[in-house]
Amino acid sequence: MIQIQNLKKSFRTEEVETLALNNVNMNIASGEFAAIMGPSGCGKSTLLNIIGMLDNPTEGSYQFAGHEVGGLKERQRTQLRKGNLGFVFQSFNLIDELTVYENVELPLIYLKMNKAERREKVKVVLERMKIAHREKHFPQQLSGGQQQRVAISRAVVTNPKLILADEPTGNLDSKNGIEVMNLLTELNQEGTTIVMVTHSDRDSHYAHRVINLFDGQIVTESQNRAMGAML
Amino acid sequence: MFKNYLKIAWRNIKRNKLHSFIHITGLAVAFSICILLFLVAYFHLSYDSFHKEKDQLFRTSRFVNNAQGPEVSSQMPLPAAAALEAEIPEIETAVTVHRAMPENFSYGDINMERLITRTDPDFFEIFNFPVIKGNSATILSGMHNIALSESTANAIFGETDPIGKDLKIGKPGQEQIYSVSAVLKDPPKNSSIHFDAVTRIETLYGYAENKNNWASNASNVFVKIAKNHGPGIVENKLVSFVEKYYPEQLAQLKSEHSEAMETLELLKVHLTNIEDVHFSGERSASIALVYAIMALGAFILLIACFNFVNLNMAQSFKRSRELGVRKTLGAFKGQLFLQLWGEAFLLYFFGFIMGMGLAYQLVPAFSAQFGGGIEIATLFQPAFLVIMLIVFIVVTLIAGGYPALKMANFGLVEILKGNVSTKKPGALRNTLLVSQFAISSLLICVSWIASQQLDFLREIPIGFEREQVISIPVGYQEDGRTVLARMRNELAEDPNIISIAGAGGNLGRGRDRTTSTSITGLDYNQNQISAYSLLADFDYLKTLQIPIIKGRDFDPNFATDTINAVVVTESFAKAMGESDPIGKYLGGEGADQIIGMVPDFNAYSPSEKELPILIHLSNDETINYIFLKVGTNDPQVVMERLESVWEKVAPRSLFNASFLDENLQAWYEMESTLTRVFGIASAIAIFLSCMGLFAISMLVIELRTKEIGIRKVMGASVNEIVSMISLHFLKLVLISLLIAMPLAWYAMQNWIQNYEYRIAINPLTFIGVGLIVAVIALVTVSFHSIKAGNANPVKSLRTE
Ligand SMILES: Nc1ncnc2c1ncn2[C@@H]1O[C@H](COP(=O)(O)OP(=O)(O)OP(=O)(O)O)[C@@H](O)[C@H]1O
Ligand SMILES: [Mg+2]
Repeated sequence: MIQIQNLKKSFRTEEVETLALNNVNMNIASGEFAAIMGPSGCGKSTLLNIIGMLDNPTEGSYQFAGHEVGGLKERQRTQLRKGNLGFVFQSFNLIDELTVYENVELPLIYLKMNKAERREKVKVVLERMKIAHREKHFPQQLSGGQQQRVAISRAVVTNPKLILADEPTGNLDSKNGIEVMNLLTELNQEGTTIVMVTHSDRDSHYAHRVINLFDGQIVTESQNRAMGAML
Repeated sequence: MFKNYLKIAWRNIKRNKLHSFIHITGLAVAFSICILLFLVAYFHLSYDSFHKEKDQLFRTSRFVNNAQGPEVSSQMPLPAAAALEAEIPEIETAVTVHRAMPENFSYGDINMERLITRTDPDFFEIFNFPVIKGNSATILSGMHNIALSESTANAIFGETDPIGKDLKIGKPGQEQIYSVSAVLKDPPKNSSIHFDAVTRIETLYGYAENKNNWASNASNVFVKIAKNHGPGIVENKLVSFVEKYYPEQLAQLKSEHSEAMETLELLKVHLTNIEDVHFSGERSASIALVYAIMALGAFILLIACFNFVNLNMAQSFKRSRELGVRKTLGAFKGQLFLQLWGEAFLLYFFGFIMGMGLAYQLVPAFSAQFGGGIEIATLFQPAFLVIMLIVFIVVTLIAGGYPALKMANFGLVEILKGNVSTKKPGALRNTLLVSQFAISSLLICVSWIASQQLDFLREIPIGFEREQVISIPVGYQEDGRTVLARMRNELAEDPNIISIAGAGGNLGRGRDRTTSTSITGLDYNQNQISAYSLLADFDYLKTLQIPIIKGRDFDPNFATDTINAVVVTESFAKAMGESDPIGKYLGGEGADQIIGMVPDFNAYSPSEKELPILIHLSNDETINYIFLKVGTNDPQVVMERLESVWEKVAPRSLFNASFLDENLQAWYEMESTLTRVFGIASAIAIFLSCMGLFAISMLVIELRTKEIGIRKVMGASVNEIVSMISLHFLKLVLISLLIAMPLAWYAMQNWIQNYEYRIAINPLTFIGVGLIVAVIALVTVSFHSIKAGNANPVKSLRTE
């Protein structure tokens, strides 16, 4: 599903040029659950954003489901991203002014889905995430764990092929963290590909494969036993 | 302590350069316009207020309930003043004031045209026109004494002492000798009575014939009422005064009205306080215009203050986190309050000072637009300063104090979480934005509709040719008939000049800035007909392209035409009760015979067409204007040719020619001033509102950065983001349009009712204004919204 070759990403700020990613090569197959790990500032989020088509690579090739994404215009990237990708962030990134229901509904609106259909889909996903009773609440009125469940609902409501999660448990206590990981695992078992950035060894064990990044480069890749067992 | 706050405030102002710039320029522009509009209004409202005994000074006017309709005029007969003084004990003094008339003054080789006002010696007792030179008690004691204004004395005599010098005044050959008895300070610009020279009423042309004639009304009468007596008592006594002095006219009026009426309802002399004279009577300024100007000033100040409050509040709430930190560090409510207020205070102060500076620069240009008299010095008056100070304090308190109090009362946790920023101030912010745009749209609608009405008035068919007719004032240095004869002679062969005529009065107002009308009463079959009398010369009708519908035009082949032939308008015939008036004799003055009838035409105003007008030739009366109908060729060439001819035929008189359509602009002076002022004001209002919108949209987008980022991650396109933001502001603009338009419609519907000829208000105007305002607002917002839409969401989520 994801094929990355010789990918480079550099940021220019005023005089300084930071090379955030340096010659990254990786493939992620459909249905895989991959974890990206590494020290702070090594480029994990940058890589995830490029995979998520929020940002363009500076050099190299990135193919998503056979489409070259590297040189696409913003409009084309948005088009390709819509409905195919879901995002989960460490800080949840819910819109404070919208209710739980409206937050989850958002990606469907941008897919130009009609109201009845939206209603149906949001209902189903909120039920599933066990947050339906809070649909009229605003994010500020929920706990961190509940907010992340809303964020995951929003990520999966379009039935994306790929979910990208950037430290999804970073702001949660361990109980809520485990709950979130179980949800992701469940989604993965249903066929969704998942790429997750994490600092937590515990979380990395949920993944099939761990990619270790250091200073913008992949240093090691390891198959998890769970994955091996499954195979 | 306070100095410390000012220091911090100053730092903040420097840090937020764009914000401060918008603040200060907005305020400065608004203040300067406000100050200028205020000065214009003040100038008009202060008319004649410099007379010390102004509360006791009144002008009389006559109300006459004619058969053709009621008529009010401040023109009084010559014997009125003495009779009023004699009959009514409460009237201490009554003086006749004959309006300033231009005449030729000559002294040695010096010739110049100056305005001369004729009056009674008591003039200087009741009015305050300070005497610079001469004995103030005996200024007009001699029959041919004359007092000159300072500038006239300087122009004629220069350094030499004018007192006791003799001046020749009048047309060549008819000069009279006057002896200068005093020099007066120039009358202030805001004086209804103005003059370059003052002399005795007895020197008025035709004084001897009319001094006891109660039927000829040509002068104003001013009275001074004894202290402690209101005008009411005097007006009551004026009823029997009218009965005593107007017995015939009263009887006549009674017979014309079938229903019985009291004297008061038929003929009345009433009093207008001198301070109201400027706004009442035939040639008056419009008090409505002055109020409109004040309202405009207030509106613009309001918009600027709304901007100020809005921006300042938005800015303060954006800084809520900083202030929260200060609070955790132990700042007291009072200190927070002082800090925010101090900043608002400083900004406002700079804006105010710059506004004053700008106004000072603009005064000359503005003054010229409004016919002079506007002075910046008027500002330094206690009342005005107090008003400014109050506005100052209220606005800075709301702008700086409100957010400070709000934040001081919020819980610390909320501030630190940044929760204060969105909900509550949003409502106030939106209300203020909506009000601003409502005011701006209202002003735009008003000026647009007013200009449509004005264009419409200018296009009304007025019954004579105005585009290809040139009028030239003869001036007071030359004899009109001589000039006319020379001119006819000189231009007889010119193919560009189709015809030439002379007349006693101009049409509209020419470059000599004077207009005059004369009304005569005529008897026909026991009917009193009051008609405008118009002195003309052969070819008058031809020159103005007024067709004859019955009878014939004046013709030099009929010897009697210059003696007793008249041409009348249709309305005149109607007033006579004749469908065919040709050949009929009009009683009174030498039995004039009607030889022709013309359709009604707008000789004196755009609104009155159906006027009884009597056109006559006469060799005795003076011709003051020459009219020329020119061919279609280049008007500039014709003008140049005329100018060179004029130097030959009237060497002593200035060439002040103008096309009639230019002269007729005087008819619409009020409307065009109104349109111009409203046009400028609405441009400034929309500009200020957009400045506010510009800054507010920037702040709103800043506050929504994270949200916009999230939406983009969720699949929103740039267009969707831009239209979401635009829609947010567009909604506000739509609400303001919905508020403004019915108001504008109502106001303008009322206004155009004043006109006999009026437009139907076109709904498309409102749609046009709506579109214009919406587009302007969208463009303003787009500066920020497009940037926000294109921003990389990764960045906006990172910097969260
Ligand atoms: N928009 C940007 N502009 C400039 N430099 C950037 C930008 N985004 C990231 N960087 C730099 O790129 C490098 C990688 O950043 P990235 O956010 O990917 O790190 P990370 O591995 O996600 O770290 P963490 O674990 O702390 O989230 C860092 O040095 C960062 O400073
Ligand atoms: Mg990161």
